[in-house]
Amino acid sequence: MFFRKHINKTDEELMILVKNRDHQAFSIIYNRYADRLNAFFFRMLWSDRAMSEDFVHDLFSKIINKPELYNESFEVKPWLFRIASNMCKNAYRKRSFEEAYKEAYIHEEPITTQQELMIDELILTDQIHKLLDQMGEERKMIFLLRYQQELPINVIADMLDLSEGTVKSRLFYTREKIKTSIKY
Amino acid sequence: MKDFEKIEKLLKSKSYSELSSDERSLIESELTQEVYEELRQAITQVQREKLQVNKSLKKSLMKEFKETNNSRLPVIFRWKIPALTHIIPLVVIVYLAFFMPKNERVITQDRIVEIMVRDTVQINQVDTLYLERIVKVPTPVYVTREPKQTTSPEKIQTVNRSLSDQKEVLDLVVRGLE
Repeated sequence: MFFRKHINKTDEELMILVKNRDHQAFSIIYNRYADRLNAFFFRMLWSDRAMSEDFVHDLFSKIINKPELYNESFEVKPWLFRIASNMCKNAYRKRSFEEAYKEAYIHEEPITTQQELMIDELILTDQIHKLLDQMGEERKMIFLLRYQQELPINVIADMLDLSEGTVKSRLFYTREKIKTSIKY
Repeated sequence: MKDFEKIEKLLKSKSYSELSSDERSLIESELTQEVYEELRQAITQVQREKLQVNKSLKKSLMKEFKETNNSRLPVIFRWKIPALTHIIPLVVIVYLAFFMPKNERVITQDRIVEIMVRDTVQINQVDTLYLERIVKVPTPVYVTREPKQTTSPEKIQTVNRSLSDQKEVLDLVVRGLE
């Protein structure tokens, strides 16, 4: 009965309960967003399933350990995806450092296992992965936030500290980029 | 960015073959047919895609949540031992700083001080107050005469007798047995 009452609550009401150590509220928030966040991380982080689940775990772990980060004035969905976007930005930064290091110091061919080769093959046949891979980090993020998570343009603009016009033009530019890549 | 909303709406709802001639001309002002189809495919697939998280992940997170938050003890009791090890020396330092006897020379000097002392006496509903005291009153003592015999055997007999009987007894005593 208590659980049913929680189900009818908004995300914002639930997050206030999470701040007050209510584990049922946390469970509902998790059920509402875990799969969505997993899909976002999966496409943002090179279609790596294990990595995306690790990131989902880390994000919710942050909420558990620092619930005070949530401010009552925030909308929960954009707040969660803002955290997710920042985590992705850090992952890209880390990856670029690793690649730069490999280029500079390791000249040997990377050794790949059979399983890794199979995953690579799957990724190559994944049409969406190909399309998203052509986009840069920020454009991919905007594309996924807009079409996968269906966030409004103004919310995406606010999340990424961009103007609405810039968000629209970057989505448009995405199309242009795809158009160019298909042509050549 | 004019017609952004219109193009987006078409991308989400119609394939290229379903577009009317007006809609096609609008799309072609921005994109080619191929790009339109590619984008539409990407958007619909991304929207349909549902990636379920492993169930064990929720279990571990719920466990973490309960471990972190379920303790109903006040904050002070939730401190781990290392925190107390920091506090104990702090308490000792505070004690030493404020309560340790200072190494000062004590000089004593006697002087008479008048102190008014007030006592409070509580009386619980006094009903009868008995005052006992000894009053010394000077009384004359006759030492030249022998002390008079207070009671005589005859007097004892007068008790409970009529006046006439008493007179006879007195006469008998005064006159004797004549």
